[in-house]
Amino acid sequence: MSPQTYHGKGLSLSQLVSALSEELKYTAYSSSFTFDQVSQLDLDTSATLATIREWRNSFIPINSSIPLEILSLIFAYLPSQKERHRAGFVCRHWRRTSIQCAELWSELSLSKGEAYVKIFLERAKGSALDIIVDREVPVRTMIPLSSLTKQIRTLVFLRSGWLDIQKFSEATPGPFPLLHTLTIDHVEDIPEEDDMDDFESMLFNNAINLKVLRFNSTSFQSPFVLHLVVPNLVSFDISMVHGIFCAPRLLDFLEGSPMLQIVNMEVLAYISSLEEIPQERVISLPNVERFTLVVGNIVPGHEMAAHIQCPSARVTSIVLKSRINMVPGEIFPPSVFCNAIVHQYTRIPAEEATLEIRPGRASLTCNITFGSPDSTTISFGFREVPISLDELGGDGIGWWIPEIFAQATRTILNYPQLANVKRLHICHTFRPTFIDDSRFAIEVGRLLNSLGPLDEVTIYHCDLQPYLPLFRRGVNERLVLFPSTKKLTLSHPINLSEYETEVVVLAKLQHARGMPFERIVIRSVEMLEELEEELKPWVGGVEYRCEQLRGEPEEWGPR
Amino acid sequence: MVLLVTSDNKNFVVDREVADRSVFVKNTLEARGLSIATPPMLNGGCFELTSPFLQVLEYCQHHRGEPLPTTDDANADENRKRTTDIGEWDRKFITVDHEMLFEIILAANYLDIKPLLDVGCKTIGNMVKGKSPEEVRKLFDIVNDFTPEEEAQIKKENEWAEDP
Repeated sequence: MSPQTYHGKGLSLSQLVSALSEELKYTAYSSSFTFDQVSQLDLDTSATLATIREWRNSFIPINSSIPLEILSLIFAYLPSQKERHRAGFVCRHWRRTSIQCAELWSELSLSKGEAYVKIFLERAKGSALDIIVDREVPVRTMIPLSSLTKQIRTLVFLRSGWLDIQKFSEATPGPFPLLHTLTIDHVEDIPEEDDMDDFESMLFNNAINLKVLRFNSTSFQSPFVLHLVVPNLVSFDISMVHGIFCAPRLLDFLEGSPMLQIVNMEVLAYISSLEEIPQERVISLPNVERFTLVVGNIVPGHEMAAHIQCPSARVTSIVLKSRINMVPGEIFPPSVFCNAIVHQYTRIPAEEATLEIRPGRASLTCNITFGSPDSTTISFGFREVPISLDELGGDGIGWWIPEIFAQATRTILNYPQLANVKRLHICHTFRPTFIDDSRFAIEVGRLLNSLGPLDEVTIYHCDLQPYLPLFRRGVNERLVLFPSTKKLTLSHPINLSEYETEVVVLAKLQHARGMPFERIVIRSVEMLEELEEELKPWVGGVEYRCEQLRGEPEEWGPR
Repeated sequence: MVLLVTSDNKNFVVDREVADRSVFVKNTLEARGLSIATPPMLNGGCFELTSPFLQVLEYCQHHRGEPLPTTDDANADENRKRTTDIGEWDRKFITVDHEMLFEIILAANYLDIKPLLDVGCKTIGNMVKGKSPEEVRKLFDIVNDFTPEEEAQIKKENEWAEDP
């Protein structure tokens, strides 16, 4: 009943409700009404009551003052599809708002069935669609999408097999001009290459605007790669922990995507056909700014990076990830690949070298990073992920540190731009009991003897034992000289008070050699006033900062 | 300095940098080459702005000099919506009663201060987050106005929504 009706009869709302109630009481249980008529009355009353409640809700501040477009925005800010849908169950006003806001219906999982898909697509209207295809979705559920492929913005194949992707491609042949992100997760069933001969069409036809491809699979071979052409790809992320990775196919694929800016590849799988790549083959990715290659130790694939040239790279990272409880013979790229990588990924020679070793309770990371004046960095790393600490016994991975340090030293010494390095930073946050002192000292000596003159040496959080006495005592009766260095920083050494004298001895030695430190900076939680006084005669200046370490141990060091 | 006059004729002198947090004010000043922005109007009538305007000014003063969001990056916009995090200061600032919260949202929308509108919408979103429809109704004093037939349909849709 509209307001005009009861106004016309001169009744207020409450009078009208009273009159209706009286009428109902009077007619109740009257034999003149049939069951159907009373049922209808029940329905009508429910509908009327709902209308009155809707009317009441229209006075509530959130409904009366917040315009529809802002209410839609509030729904859009809800963190999950589930929450966004649930908001539409609060009241009629919210439901209408929710249904009218096409954006809220853009995320669609085909696993929820055909009826659901149809309703969602109807409500999504012409808005961009984010589609999730789960394993074994029936073709009939995919069919409603076939005429809407132009709206698909992101496509995720979740726990899907190759056959699921093939089935989707046949049911929805495209084009996909809006497709921006394609994620393929865990493709298990790899068909024989022969099986693919019958499949002639391209996958995701005309996905010319595909910018992001994430590929997590057990195979990177022809079935997928040969049927996917994505010339405007900007970001490529691949993770293959198991299975077979075909190296030449990777180069073919990358070559077909010259617009790439970010390449992130974790290939712990078996790398096949590496030897088939001619040594002189180098593909150029002129726009890549970040390049990461993580390889496993089954077939160390460092050399894949040597077949790629990224002249615009700002951050390059080549990492070996090992899952066995021993240190591999070559954890950093051999010098021949290292040379090629440095040549192909940097423009200006590096002036800064940083060596970090960070053992965790059951893991270990080591990074050698070279930085150029144009803020370009190239790093070679090692990640050790042992199966369990128990299997290692004793002090765990600490025993490997001298070997890792030795290999890291060798890599730095073989670095083709070593002569340009002016700043050296060393950081290792581990317990001194782990270290084979003499061997470690030899490596430290070799490293420091090969450098110089340097502007700066910084030693972060280290046990000073391998760093300081060796310059006084030498190693294996051979003299070790600290390189000519303008500034030496000792940042939070773990045992500074024990090696106070050695710091002074080093300063005196450098002074006697006619190359005194211009400045020594000591940062420590301990306040050692005498040390500062003792150093002053032998160096240009001493800066002592008594300060606490901030953040987590993982954040300490040269950041 | 800029003189801003609200619809109830209250004058506010603020730095240009503060006033420019509002795209509406910024555009108005640039278009007219003036230093006075006239009172905003809403729904064809004068909008009593003084009370929320003071809050909005406080927000703009606190965030002066920060980069303004650009409108040309759809992905950034999408990512912004996907996070419900609100900064510490903003969270304290927006801890007001419902009525004031709605007023601030309306003012932010009208004055085109997208970050503030975000904060307001996220705040309501956080109130709603994790609550059942019945709990949301209680929160905002809404009554269930669905018919039994509509409820049956909603129940069916709810099953989809609740599925993982």
